Amino acid sequence: MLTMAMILNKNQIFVLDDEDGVRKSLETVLASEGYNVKSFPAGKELINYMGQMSFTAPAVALVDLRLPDMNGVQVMQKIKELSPETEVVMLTGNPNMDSAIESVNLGAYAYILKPYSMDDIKNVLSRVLEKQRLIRENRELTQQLKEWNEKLEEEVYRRTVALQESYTKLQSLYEMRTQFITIMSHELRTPTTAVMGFADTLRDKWKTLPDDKIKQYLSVISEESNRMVLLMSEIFEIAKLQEGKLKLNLDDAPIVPFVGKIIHDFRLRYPGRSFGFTEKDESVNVSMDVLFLKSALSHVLANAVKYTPLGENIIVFTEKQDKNFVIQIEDSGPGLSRDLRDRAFEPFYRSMDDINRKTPGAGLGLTIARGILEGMQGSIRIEDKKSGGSGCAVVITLPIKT
Amino acid sequence: MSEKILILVADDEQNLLLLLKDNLEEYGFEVVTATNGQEALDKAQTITPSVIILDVEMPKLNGWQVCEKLRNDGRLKDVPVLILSAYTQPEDIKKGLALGAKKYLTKPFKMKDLIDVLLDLKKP
Repeated sequence: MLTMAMILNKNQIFVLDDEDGVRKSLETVLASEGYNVKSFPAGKELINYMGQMSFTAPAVALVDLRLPDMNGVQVMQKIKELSPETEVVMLTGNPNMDSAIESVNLGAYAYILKPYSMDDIKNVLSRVLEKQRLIRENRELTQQLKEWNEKLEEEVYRRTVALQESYTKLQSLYEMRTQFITIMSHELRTPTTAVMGFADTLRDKWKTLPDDKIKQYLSVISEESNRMVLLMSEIFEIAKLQEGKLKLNLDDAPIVPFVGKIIHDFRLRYPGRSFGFTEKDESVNVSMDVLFLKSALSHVLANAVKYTPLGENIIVFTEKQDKNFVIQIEDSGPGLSRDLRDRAFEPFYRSMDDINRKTPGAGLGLTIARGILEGMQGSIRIEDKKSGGSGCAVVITLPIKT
Repeated sequence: MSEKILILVADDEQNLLLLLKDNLEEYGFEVVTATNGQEALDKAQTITPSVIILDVEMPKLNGWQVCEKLRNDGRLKDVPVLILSAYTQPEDIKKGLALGAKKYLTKPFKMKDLIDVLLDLKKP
């Protein structure tokens, strides 16, 4: 019967000799050295013992080469079969070395000639144990090395993936930046063309131009200069947002009257549209930077005005939702298809938007608003209108302070 | 009595149309304007201008698309097209010329340069 893979007990020693005296003296001496000795008078007994399901595999077996019941070499081979790592040392009284040498060739660790001194035995034992210790250590180190290797490979893989991800991210950031600069330059060139063109026209022809033309050209110059200033200040705001340099001065303040004040300003500024808004939940506080939040809301409202035809409504809903305060601004414009709603927050989105190209503004408003609101742990997105009909609902959330 | 040179100008910026129309008319050209690509194409087919000035970034049809459609129009394919755009990259200019434009001017431009180019394009 074959035994399972066994762990050697480095203190366990088997002694197999048919001479009582040999067994007794080895038992005594080795026990005094701290070994745990089990001795057998016959080969069969040892083999039977090792055939049991559970036994302690010895580090070393000292086996007499000539036994009454069987050949010591056969016993040695059986031991190696049952416990391959047990080292077998042959004891021989035969001055003819042939069988002793043969036993070593067949797997014995060494042989010791009788009569032997106890030191001979101890020396061989300590050599065997040293060898086994080195094997054990070697095996442990190999195992550890294998584990380290696997961990290292895992780590290298993980880092490679992370590097690839950040490379892709950087690349798309770089492309976005390049695109931003290209569009920005395009957007600046348009008002510049008008300003330069009319300035040149006035310089060259002011003597012959009728007064109303001169006035018209000057108005265009003024209007287009304003557009350039607006564009530059928006670009500056965006640049600050993108560099993460936005410094917010946060204070807890009631949000509803704040929204009410901004809407009041818009009603005065754009009397052609009606702004629906009812103040309620006046007690809700949010953490806000007054100037920046006003800028964000104004960008969104200005956008709503831009897309809402004269005489139509802009409706502003406010409500508490769980831990957030929600401001929903609904316009009466053409609306925005679902797949474009996220893109509306990209810089210069309007530039690609054919429907309302004629309205002032650079298309940076929603980008700026998102940057500011996210700086206040809030959010902004475009959804379907609650009030129904065509148009966009811009939904702003801000965390409520309790 | 030489007939006036008829120029079609397409740009979606009202102020730029005003600038072009007033200056070119004052110089002696006859000017028809369009505020988007489709209108430019329609008007070109009706009036058959001597030269067409096209902006690129326009609603409905952009300048590239108008240029391409003009090249494939039997009656209009020989009318010289001048692209006048705020797109200033070399690849934009290459693209415009590849689509059949005779000239490409970038914004902002000098009126004198534009008039020189128009007179040059008008030559048989």
